[in-house]
Amino acid sequence: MKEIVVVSGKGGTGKTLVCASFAALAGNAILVDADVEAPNLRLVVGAGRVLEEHTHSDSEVARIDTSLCKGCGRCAEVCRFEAVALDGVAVVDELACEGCAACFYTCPEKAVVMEPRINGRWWVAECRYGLIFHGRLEVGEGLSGKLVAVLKERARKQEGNYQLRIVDGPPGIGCPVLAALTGADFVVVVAEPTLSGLHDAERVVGVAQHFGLKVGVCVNKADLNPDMTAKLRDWVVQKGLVWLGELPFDEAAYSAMANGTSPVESEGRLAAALRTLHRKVIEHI
Amino acid sequence: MIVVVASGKGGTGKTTVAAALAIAVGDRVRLRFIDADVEEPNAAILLHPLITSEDDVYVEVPKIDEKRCSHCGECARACRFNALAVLPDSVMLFEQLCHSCRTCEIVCEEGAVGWERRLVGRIRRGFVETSWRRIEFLEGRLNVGEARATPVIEALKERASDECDTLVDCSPGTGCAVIETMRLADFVLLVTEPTRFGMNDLGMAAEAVKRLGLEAGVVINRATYGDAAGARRLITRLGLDVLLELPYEADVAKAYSRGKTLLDARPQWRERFEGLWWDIARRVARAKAAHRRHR
Repeated sequence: MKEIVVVSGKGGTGKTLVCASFAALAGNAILVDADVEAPNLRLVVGAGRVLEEHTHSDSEVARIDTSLCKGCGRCAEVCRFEAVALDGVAVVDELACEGCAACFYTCPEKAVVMEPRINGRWWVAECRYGLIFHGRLEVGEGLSGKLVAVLKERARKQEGNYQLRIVDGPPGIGCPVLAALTGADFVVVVAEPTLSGLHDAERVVGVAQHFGLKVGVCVNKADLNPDMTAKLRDWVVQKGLVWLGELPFDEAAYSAMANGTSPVESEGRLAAALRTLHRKVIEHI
Repeated sequence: MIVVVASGKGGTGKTTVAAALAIAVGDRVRLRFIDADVEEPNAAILLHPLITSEDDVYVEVPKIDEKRCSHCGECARACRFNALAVLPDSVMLFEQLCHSCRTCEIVCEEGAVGWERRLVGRIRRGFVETSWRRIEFLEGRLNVGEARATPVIEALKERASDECDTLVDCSPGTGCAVIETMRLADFVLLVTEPTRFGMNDLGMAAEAVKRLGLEAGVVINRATYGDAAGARRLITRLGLDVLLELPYEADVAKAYSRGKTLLDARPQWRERFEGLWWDIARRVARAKAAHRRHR
């Protein structure tokens, strides 16, 4: 089964719109929402019965055994994350603690205990177009890329007769984006025709090329600024990337999505453009 | 005071609101603007700062002295980030995974762990000219291919003393980069849109604010675009106030696409943003007074 990963660099350009539409057109797909800090895909694909629920723990947190702590402060000295304060005994700021265990190895009284921490939760659920794998990072947790990697690995092992694996990526270019891109057969970059959209698309394309991945670019809300759309197209061609075309701005389709129907199922310009986009992507994988 | 503009969901208008707020009050108060969305810094596109200096951001990573190393493997076992692998006659470092915590140095009995610098990003400094004053401008930029944004955000924070009012444009999400940025704040301004996505993600951002015990308020952007009444109800349920609502207008979006600020397109909205700033200032003052009384 082939895997498509949809990213954008900039947030709010329409990644989830594209993923939900591809899912509807595939009919029977595996969906992965790799934005675990602001997960939205389940809201528009008719997520239903939950088949699996898991807690995700991939790091530790330092706890102080106050009966052993003498308040010497060595732990606070070695902590690079300013996560330990002294108030008679050592006190750990759990949001700041990265679980590196420097304090654990330093404490002369053996008063530091490293305990597993729950970094997030993830689910496998049925949805209108197949299965959805989605997760949610606990607020403030650091390693969202690891949760994304867990989701993708589990999704990859899923058996059954599915057409396509579609990964809705997070914004940015950092660790969860790297995790989302790993193993992609084709990367779809959803750009918007703004100076920010162009700037951010360039950076995320840089990341995908760093990994030697095949990249196609489409422009959403293309009619917002036709000049900028043309500029983006020229840049795509000049970079040797696959030009996937334009999606028009269609307010009716957006309100359809807000009510839980996929825009591709509605009539109109956007639906037609999404079908063309899907066909082009399928041709390239 | 330090105001951090955040959102949860991307693309709701953080940078648009932050830039308009800066332009609206930059004449009146001594202001510093920090673009802390280091993965995708965009504020410069709207504010057109004159960049006067740039410096590099480095992280420290271990450098193993192979002559001293006994290849016992203790460092790799202690490393919680799996950044080290010890082979029979060499040590491999996966530098992207390293958090610079120095645990490997602490556990190494041979004293074989030294340190070297690795370049991960840049800080650009400059200023934005307003009619009366200059807004100081600072931007962090993570290098393409790097995984961890926090070292660049930390470098920005080191340069953000509280000698003047500061406005910080944050990255989307609710993960470590956002928390690291929010920790600076006297006030978090959450920008949302009245869609299901916006509301879902605002809930998560509000949870982050609550966990950090910060003062916060909400701007509803594109209020004419979705279910604004529903958004207001949810925001009240979250225990937050709506401080400003902005309508969706196509020509404003077009101006943004060309690198113009909201106030270029709608100069008449300047007073609303000035009002927003003083509203925030009052809320921060009130919270500080309450905090003092409490103590």
